[in-house]
Amino acid sequence: MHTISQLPARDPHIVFEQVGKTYPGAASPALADVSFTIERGEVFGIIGRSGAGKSTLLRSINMLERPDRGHVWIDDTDIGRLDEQGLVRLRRRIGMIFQHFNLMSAKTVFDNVALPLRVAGVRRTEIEARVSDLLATVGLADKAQAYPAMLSGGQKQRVGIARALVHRPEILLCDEATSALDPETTEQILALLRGINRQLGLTVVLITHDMAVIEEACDRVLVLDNGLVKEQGPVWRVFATPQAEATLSLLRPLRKRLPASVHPVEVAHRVANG
Amino acid sequence: MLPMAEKYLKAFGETLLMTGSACLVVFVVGMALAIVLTVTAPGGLAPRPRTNRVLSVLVNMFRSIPFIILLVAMLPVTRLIVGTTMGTWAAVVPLSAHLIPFFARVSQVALNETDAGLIEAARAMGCRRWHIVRHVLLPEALPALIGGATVTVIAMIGSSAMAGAVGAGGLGDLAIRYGYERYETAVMFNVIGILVVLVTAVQFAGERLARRFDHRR
Repeated sequence: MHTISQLPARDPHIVFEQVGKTYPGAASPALADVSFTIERGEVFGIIGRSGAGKSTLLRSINMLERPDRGHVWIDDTDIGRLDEQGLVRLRRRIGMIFQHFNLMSAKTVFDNVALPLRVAGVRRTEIEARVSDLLATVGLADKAQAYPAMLSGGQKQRVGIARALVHRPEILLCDEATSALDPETTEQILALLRGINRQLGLTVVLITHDMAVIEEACDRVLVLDNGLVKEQGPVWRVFATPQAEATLSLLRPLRKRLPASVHPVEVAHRVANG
Repeated sequence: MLPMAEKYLKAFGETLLMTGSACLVVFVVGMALAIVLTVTAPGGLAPRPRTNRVLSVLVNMFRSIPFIILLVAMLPVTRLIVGTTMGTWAAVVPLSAHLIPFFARVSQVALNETDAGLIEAARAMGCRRWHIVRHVLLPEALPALIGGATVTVIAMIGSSAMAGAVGAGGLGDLAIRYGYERYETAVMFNVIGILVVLVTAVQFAGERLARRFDHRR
């Protein structure tokens, strides 16, 4: 018989250990003492309102932002201790996609996807093969010579995904990757991300302010508020029995999609109010 | 004495030679300076606030000196570099010194326009700082840089008129000597006509080139 305690063996991939960060001149910390673990091969969601510290948290995984307290471990490496050379090598093991895609406007789709390999000194023939392969995977084989300005939002994000995957990373970071897309495109992109996660077995970390994205794509979720971890766990549990006030308010937009009698927010409120 | 038509031709050639070679120097040195100014700025790729401030003050100094004064003040430097203080080549030195800071500032503005998100994406994919300059800043700013270069070439054509003061010749010199000092108004208007055509052609070519490299729409 399967019980929750008999879930597959844990295999920590990314570990945050009492991480804190205060921006110069800021009254309160962006991250205050954050500790949690991301398992290998899972899709891990971080949700919070704007200003909750999600962005800083995500960027601590590839050191685009340096925490000023605590440790971030990837496998056995304390990545805060890496020098410039080590960071470049680390970042080539981590792909990242962005809300506004951040594609180079002066480069074709092909050259955008090829860029991470070019700067890493990969051979031309190898680049050709890998880029063509990935463009086919994301369904943009026919757009290789197009410029980003000629593409739709969904297509741009597909290019972003191809670019993030081209150096075969073990971690994919998604920074509000669907926030600028319409609901239908969002669904397609999330399906693509899930498919990639299953096929390649890479660890996906995504941040969003939209609970629907968590529901659609994630295995586990962490709720961040004011730089603090308010709640974390499997998506089904956090949705079914939300504990923190921050979680409840984030779940509220979803209520219209569920009958009131079974909606977690309603149920939680009823429990709270006796 | 040369017949008049040959005088125009000779002056035109001198203007081209002067502005052409000075522009080459200005583009290379000015671009390098612009990159250093951008990269060392606070919040830049490799912040060096003191270096940045010193360079910035130097650039402002050179930009404040009127060209005709720079032309004379730089005579010793000119002699050191080209071996003489007279003639077309002697004008290239002060012309370059005059427009390097101008082009550097124009280019710096263009480079600073780069979307911070693109730089972040480049860092995230494992680009080193030089890669970011080479693959992000320069290509993304290229249309604006071409625009800046166009303005610089035209400013150079204007400034080169004063280079007659060191015997550099050129169209501007022809207009001053014949048109202004000898009251040969026709010569002056002809020269102005040639300059209008030249400036228009440069502007047209610059705009076309900039559009060719602009893929933002």
